[in-house]
Amino acid sequence: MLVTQFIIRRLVFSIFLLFGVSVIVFALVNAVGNPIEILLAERPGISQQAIDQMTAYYGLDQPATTRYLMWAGNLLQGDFGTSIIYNQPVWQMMTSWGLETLKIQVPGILIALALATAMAVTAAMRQYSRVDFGVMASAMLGQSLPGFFVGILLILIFSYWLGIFPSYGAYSMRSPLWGSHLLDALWHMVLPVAMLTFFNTAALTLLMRSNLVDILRHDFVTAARASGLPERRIIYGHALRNALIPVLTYLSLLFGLMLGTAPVTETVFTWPGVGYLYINAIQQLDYPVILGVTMAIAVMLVVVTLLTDIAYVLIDPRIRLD
Amino acid sequence: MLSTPVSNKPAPQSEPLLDVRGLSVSFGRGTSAVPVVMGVDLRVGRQETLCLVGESGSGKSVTSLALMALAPGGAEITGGQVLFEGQDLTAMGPAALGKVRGRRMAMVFQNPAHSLNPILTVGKQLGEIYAWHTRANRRETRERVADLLRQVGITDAHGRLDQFPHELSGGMKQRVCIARALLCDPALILADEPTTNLDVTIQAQILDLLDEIKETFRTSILLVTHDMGVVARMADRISVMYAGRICESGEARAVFRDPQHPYTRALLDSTPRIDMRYEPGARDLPAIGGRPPNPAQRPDGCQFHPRCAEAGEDCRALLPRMTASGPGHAVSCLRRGSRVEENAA
Ligand SMILES: Nc1ncnc2c1ncn2[C@@H]1O[C@H](COP(=O)(O)OP(=O)(O)OP(=O)(O)O)[C@@H](O)[C@H]1O
Ligand SMILES: [Mg+2]
Repeated sequence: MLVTQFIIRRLVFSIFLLFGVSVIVFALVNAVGNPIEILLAERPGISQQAIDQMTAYYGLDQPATTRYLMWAGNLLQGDFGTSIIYNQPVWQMMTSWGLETLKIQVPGILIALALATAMAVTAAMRQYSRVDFGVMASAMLGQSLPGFFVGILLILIFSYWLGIFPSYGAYSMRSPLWGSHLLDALWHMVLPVAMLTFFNTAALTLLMRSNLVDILRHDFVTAARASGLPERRIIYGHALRNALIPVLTYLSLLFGLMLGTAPVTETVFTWPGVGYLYINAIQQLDYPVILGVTMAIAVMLVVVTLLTDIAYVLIDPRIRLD
Repeated sequence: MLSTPVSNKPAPQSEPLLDVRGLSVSFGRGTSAVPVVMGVDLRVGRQETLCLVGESGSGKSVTSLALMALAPGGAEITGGQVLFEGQDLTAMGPAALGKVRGRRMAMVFQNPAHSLNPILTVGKQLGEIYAWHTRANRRETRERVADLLRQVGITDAHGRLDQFPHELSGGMKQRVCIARALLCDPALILADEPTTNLDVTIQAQILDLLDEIKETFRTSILLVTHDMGVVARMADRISVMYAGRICESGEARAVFRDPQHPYTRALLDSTPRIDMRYEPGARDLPAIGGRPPNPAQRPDGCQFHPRCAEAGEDCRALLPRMTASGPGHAVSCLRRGSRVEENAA
């Protein structure tokens, strides 16, 4: 099948998927309650006139179906609506907060991949040795610690006791570190990235080690050894590439899982990312934001799975695009 | 078409190409070590085919890997020498071994589908080996690989270079594996049941090919098989393995005409004789009563005695050692007058 044909089929399917997701999320938010009431509970002083204005603006007096159609119609024109809480365009918020999320998630995944590869290779090459046992034990331990616990531990050690790294935020409120905005941003990234790296490395190491151990038993590895190729080449050129194939799925899952790890990480480090935004929006029933972020996440998942499938075909010639 | 060898250091004609002495391999270490190959002697002359025969689990594959100083995970070569072209492979470091493996001694495996890397094209994976050993450039390498594919009977060799293993049939894959073994003009090819996983008609073709290679490439072949039909057809010499030990070895003719060991006789009883038509279908060993011993709980004395009709009291206690029974023929059986292994446990 042609790659373009495959992509088109996927995209058509995705449109239905995204439609379904938006309906479900809209219905759920609608079932929970009215955002104005939640706003009122927090700020009782708001005048009746302002309430009426907001109700009219967001169409909260209209039936849910009408509101959904309004929202969807605007979305089709590229308008994600306006946040009820922040009174800002949702699209603008998502891009600026989204960038902050990617800033810690992408390094968290890439560093983890590099670390996990190194550890898995070290362990698999000495299967059942003390090194292997040590790597596996620490990876299992790492995996069993909840992410927020690791985050709090990092803050305790590096912020509270040692005072080396900031414990919250993406930028310094007053003057940036050493007068450099770049250094300041990196400085703030260290702990959240460390938490994500820790979390991702543990699982990736276990997965890659078991894949590698399995692959190293294959005849084609023995055949490569019997052909006189050096061990390094066999590991990196033959075994690792095969072992990475299942990891690819996991990696795409990790990008999807950002949605799971982002809220925790960003809450622990008060990080101005989409995860933080999302949690806040849910607490306040800020449904334009909830819907916008959900749709963005869904689109991202669609794109990531599509890219993963294409990457599979590029890596593994046995797989076809059907 | 003959190509120039990568490095051909001719050894004196008198000594065999491969001389294995007392090779032992164990799984595990220390007190829990389980020996699976014990004191194996093998000899392969130049341009000779030695067939290593024995039941499943007798240690043929472990032995053939050990000849390359390789061992499956958890196994270790615990003793003996593998003298190949005058050098002991068991005493070599990785760098020196890398110059023997794939270059002077190459291997063909039982399952061609598993012994090729699924994610590399034929041209890439064969080319990598040739380029590594010869430092040839890309074009030379491609030419060499295509040339060999042609020589092992693959049509459209150039087109095949860019195909992946899964795009080839089983017989074709095994031809690719044979081409891979031949890349650097080895002196010895180890073929571990190279036809067991193939269709009957393809089996015969691959055996023909191996015979042909022996002539055109002047290689020796160590052929592992449990198919006496294959042995009858291919072997110049035979070594019979039972429970990790060689129990009989000799010229193919002598072994087929006058098998000495009761186990060899049992093997031959229901299989084609050398004067019979080759029947590839008759590939399983005949039903010999009983089973080979569990390597972890070996009987005392001769390993075969629990299944042997001729076994006496001495067989239960004493371990026979390989002793000449005639010209170019040796056996380890007390009933055939073999001497007793002195340092047996
Ligand atoms: N990975 C392993 N771990 C433990 N024991 C093993 C392992 N591989 C092989 N063995 C043992 O080593 C012995 C020899 O095995 P080997 O594969 O050499 O037999 P074989 O003669 O090649 O048999 P087959 O005809 O089935 O290929 C067997 O008893 C087997 O149980
Ligand atoms: Mg075997």
